[in-house]
Amino acid sequence: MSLPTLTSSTPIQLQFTSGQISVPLEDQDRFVAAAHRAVSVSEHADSEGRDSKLYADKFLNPIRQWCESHRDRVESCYVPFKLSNDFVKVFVVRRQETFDLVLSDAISKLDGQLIDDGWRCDVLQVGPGPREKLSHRFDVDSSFHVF
Amino acid sequence: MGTAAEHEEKAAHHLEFLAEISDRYPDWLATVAFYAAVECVERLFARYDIHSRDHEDRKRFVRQRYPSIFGAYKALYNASLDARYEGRNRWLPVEEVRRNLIARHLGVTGRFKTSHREALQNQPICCWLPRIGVIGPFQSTPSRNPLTIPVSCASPPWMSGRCRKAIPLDRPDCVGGSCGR
Repeated sequence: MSLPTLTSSTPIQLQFTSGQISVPLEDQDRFVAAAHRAVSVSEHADSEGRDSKLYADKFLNPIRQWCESHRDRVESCYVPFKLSNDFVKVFVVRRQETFDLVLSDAISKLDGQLIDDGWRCDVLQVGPGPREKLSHRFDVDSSFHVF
Repeated sequence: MGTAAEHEEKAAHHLEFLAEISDRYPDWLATVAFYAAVECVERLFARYDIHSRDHEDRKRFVRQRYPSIFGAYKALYNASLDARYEGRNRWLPVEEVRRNLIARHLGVTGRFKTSHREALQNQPICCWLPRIGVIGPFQSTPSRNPLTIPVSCASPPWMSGRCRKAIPLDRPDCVGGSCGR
């Protein structure tokens, strides 16, 4: 079975309501494919059909909650659909222009926690800016907009 | 893929270069500091015949094997990416690079590597812990940070029996080879 294409023309807006993630109907195939890829390289690879739930509950939700608790320093957050070197990248867009050393410590804790939880991921902070500017660092249009 | 000695030599080489970089190049200070840290952790990995294939892989190994330096290593990694890919107006001021990235984060990573090197020479942990603290030209006094050796690092086969527990680096009663545990 071939998986749906992982391209998009805009970031996919995820809706978080009381810990539940809603994916727009037209983007659900891409969500399922991204979840499968993320889970397949993680320590949860034997999840037997629960990829989407695991990805939503144990990966995206903690990231969203972390962003909310650091909203004074976090402008937005994106998770590209595609893996990079078999790792899921997470791009945290900071509010301040220069590298945020305080945010860096907090990101290390989040990153470490996700790794400890079995995810093969890499959480990075990037400078703020419009989509065109962010696109210099990652493919914004092929990402989930988590925060 | 290099030997422990080769990584040791490269780390020293990078630290030497770091000391030569002027305040006009905070981006290169941040970048070289990260690559010095890379050699420090590769030196640690080489002891166990681990060789990471890329930055993400290496970072994961650091988290799994040496969690106490993960935050420092991660900060150096991310800051070096920023220095290379963000515009000049977004670079950290040179004072911040020297104080936070080099003295603080690279200092932690380098001290940790140094502590393991000394441990590999079969000295009991309680002898070498209090002596950790000097790295390159950036920190001239021994560290008094109340850091602890993480449990995951506290039980390699080379450790002597009675000092396996995580203990503070600056425990005064560890001086002289008798930690009382």
